[in-house]
Amino acid sequence: MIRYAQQLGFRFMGMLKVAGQIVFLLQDIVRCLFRYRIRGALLIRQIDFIGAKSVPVIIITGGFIGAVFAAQCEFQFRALGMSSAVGPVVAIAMCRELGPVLCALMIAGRVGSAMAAELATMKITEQIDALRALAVYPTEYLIVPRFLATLITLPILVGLAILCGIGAGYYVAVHVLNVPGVYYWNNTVKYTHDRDIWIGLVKGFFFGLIIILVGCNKGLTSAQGAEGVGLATTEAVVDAFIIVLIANFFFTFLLNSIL
Amino acid sequence: MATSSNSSPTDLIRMTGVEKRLGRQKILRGVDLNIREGENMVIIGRSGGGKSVLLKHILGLMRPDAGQIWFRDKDLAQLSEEAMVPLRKETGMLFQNGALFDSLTVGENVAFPLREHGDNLDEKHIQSEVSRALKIVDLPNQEQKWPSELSGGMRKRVALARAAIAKPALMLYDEPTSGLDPVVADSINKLMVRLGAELNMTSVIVTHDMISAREVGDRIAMLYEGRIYCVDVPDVVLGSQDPVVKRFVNGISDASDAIF
Repeated sequence: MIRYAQQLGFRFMGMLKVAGQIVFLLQDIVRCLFRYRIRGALLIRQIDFIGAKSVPVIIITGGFIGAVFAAQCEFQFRALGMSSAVGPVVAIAMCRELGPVLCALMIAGRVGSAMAAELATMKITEQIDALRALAVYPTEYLIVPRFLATLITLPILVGLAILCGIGAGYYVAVHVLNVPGVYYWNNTVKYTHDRDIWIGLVKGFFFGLIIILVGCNKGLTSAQGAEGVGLATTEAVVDAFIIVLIANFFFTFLLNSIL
Repeated sequence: MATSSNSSPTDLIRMTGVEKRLGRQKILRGVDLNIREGENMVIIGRSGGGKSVLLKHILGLMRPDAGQIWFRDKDLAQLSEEAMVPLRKETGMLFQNGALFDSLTVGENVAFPLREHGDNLDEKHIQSEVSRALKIVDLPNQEQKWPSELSGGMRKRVALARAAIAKPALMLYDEPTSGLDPVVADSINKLMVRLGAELNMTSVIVTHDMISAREVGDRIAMLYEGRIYCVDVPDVVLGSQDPVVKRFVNGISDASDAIF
């Protein structure tokens, strides 16, 4: 029992330590944003990697989730004679929950892991020390462009996922399951509001913040050796997934009351 | 053992009582060492003995737990990361495995210090400086290659070009000849001597390679059990009859060194 409590205590302390590291990293990033000029070329390279190269994944994810969700809704609503309600249900679900959460999970898997692996490899091969030796501050050079690129691209990718989900839902409901197109679209427009879209985009922004901070922190604090790089990569994905899902619960209530 | 490390006005680096603990192990236990302006100081010592750690302290990449490290009139232990920038611009470091940036080509790696701190140098000038630096390290026309396409020796030479291109006042070499064949190692040794003479640099070289130590060093310091055990000119240190020094220089193990 004591041993169990001890283990629990160590885990809790470990979590507090990571939380502290993330707060200090964020503070350092904000300081660098005001202290140094933004490196345009590096920012564009990161926007390309995080944003442009994620587009196919996001289109596929958003599209198929929207399509499946529309099909399932139609199967259930048909018995109630409410097939024309599928449109707004799909649109609101995509805007408020499925778009931002699935987009965040995909980006955490694709980008968060890559960032953790790249930074951890740079750390163990002394490239981060080399940057410091060349009088360049690593946070400013390595982290700030990734940070800004993630915050810029995540809401855009969430918007894209929402659009693809709604579009695919429409196609499946109207062209495959024969829901009347006019009713479907009119109801979608009527019951989907600006605030639904805003909630999705704001969630995307904060999920981006979580992914970048967790991924970069894992990379920068990784242990030495190949095992350390592997562990940092895995933990970056798993931790980001968990934090995004938990944060989503609180954001849902918070944003619903604010927006 | 007697040393010749008394402080003098021409010292570029002065270390007094430097201590460092990594995890549970105390790596440095009070290092006192002065490095004179313009000299090539070689630091020798056992693997894991703290030589690289000492080198990182000189560049401020690590902070001492106790003691002081003076770079001219500045105590590095008291400087913030940002206050360290002007000093690092005066310093170049060759890391053990080169530490070239994977995401940049050879040319971009070598040009990095000029692009970062070159005060609006035009691209033509940067390119000509990069070509010249690569020619000096016997790697002409390699600008477009990626670090992953280079051998260990080539990576070290590119890293040397990168470290020296901004003509630093102080160069730090972390095991510059380790893992290289004798011919490449000799070319690196000659390059270090040539660069030191041409650019009037102070050099600190950490090595296990006694041939390199003799060839390159103006003085040799031996780090033993976390302290500087002796400092003197190469002939004196390498010819020393002191059992600790003799055993290390001649590579003779005894019962205390047994691994199995």
